[in-house]
Amino acid sequence: MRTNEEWLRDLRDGGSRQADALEELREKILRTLRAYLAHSAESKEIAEDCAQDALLMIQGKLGTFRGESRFTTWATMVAIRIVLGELRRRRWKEVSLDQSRTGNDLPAWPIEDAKSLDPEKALQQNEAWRILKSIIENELTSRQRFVLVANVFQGMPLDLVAGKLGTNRDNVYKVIHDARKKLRKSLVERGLSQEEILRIFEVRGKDSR
Amino acid sequence: MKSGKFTRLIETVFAAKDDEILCSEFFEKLPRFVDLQIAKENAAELLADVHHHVHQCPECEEIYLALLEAVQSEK
Repeated sequence: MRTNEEWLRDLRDGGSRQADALEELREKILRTLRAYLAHSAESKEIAEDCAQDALLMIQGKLGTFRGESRFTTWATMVAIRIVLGELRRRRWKEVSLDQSRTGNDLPAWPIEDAKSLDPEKALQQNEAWRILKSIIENELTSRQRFVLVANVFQGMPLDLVAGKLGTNRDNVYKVIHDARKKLRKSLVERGLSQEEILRIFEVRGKDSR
Repeated sequence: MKSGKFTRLIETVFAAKDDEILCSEFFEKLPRFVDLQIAKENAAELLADVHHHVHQCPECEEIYLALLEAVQSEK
């Protein structure tokens, strides 16, 4: 098994050591991607293409490897980011959403499951959703609203939202982050806590799952 | 949306901190986070900002989970 230094040395070698290291890395990445895609509805054919793309990216980014982890963990992450990005792009393409609606329409009701059968609880849910919706529609900036609706409610991947807005993933995450902070402030001002909202909608938080 | 996604939305709203790392910094630190976990170190405490981002960013969480599984299976 190569050390980090050996991986870097061999991948930069330019000779037979580089060819061996690339082949070993290719096999390792392919094994990982095939295992990941084994239970996926998507065809395993993308494993080969993504492994190839990953190898090229890894070679191009060798200088950015900081040596704080095992080299193979870093390289595997690069490959997984590529395959997951591809899967997300494919899944988003399959969503038959009218492009003009992207980032625009909040759903009439936030959760697919039926409303509570208890009339009093149903009233509380209607009121909570009315408040949440009103904050999103009236208090967020148009950019915050677009990003939140597109990514969180409609499922558009962060990278694609970034592409649509002509920016990068970090900026999109920052917009979502600012929207969350504004939402929290406004919800708290209206007396709604996390526990209260989850109780009203009869959904369980992470700690009680 | 599914009820799990709605729950996640509410949880991330209330868990938002003033100072959070962004996705690119998360990817710089994720391999070390996973290696620490594999080594049974307290990764969540040692890299609390990475741990928090996993909670706040579902897409990055998916990458973290896939990477952890891949590295574990290669052990």
